[in-house]
Amino acid sequence: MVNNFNNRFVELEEEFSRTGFEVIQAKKGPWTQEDVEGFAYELETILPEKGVKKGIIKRIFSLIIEALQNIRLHGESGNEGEQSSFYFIAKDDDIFRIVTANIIHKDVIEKVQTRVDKINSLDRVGLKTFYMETLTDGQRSSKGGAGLGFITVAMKAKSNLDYSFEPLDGSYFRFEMSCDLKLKKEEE
Amino acid sequence: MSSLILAEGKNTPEVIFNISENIFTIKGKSFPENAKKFYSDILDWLDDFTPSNDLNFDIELYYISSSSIISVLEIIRRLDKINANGNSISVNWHYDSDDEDLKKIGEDYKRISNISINLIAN
Repeated sequence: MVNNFNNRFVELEEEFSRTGFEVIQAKKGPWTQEDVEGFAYELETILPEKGVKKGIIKRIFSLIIEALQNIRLHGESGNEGEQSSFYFIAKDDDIFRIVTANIIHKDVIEKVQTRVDKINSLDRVGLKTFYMETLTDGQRSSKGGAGLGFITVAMKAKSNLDYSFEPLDGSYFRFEMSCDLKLKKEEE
Repeated sequence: MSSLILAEGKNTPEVIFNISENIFTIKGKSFPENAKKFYSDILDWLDDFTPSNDLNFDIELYYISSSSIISVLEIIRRLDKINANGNSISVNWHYDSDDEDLKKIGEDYKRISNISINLIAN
């Protein structure tokens, strides 16, 4: 599994370079909560140097916290006992692309896929309604999550969540997700 | 009842519920991994709180994670409940003028609670 993640990490690095993206930050897991905070605060230093506006920096900071806490909460450890994972933040002239990957058990794939498909099927108004329903419902899982993670990522990025599941062995898959955040402000 | 004072952490806000000086603020960043755990002391404190006069709660968060958004809603619902007993508490929701997301969170709270929430752009 570790090799699979390492190979995909290198593949993505090459893909970004080939397609004209600059990788702003890329880290391999597992991470502690302190690591996650450190990465986010590191972005507060790196992004202003790239001329990125404060509003976008705050949004990327929040996206990364949301995505990485999600992985820490729900990412599986797999057979090797390690929570293999990685993420990339890359930028071209128009967008920031955020790619995350973690281990997922085959039994939860359907649940995750249904949720992300639902989020992707909704327009902005529908997504806001779904967000408000989930917020007011306020049911937390045993792991402390409240089901707002994917919705928040989609709302902040204002883009669909692309995803794939790559088999690792009989029970585990690599779950990869990516979203794009436009650099120019859209009309609300 | 004693005041509740929590110092700002790396991912948690400063909380000052000072009864004698009538100051009630939550300020800073809020993205603890377990928001439910962090906010449980605050919610417990509010369960026992009976104000003797009208007051304002100032909430000024720079970052807020989705699980913290739910916890802050629970605080607002507690304040709603206190108001239902004949008190008058209002909330000042402060946000950076260039932060649309934080403004929207304040608007959402306004929509789904009975309490008076003032949106204040800094």
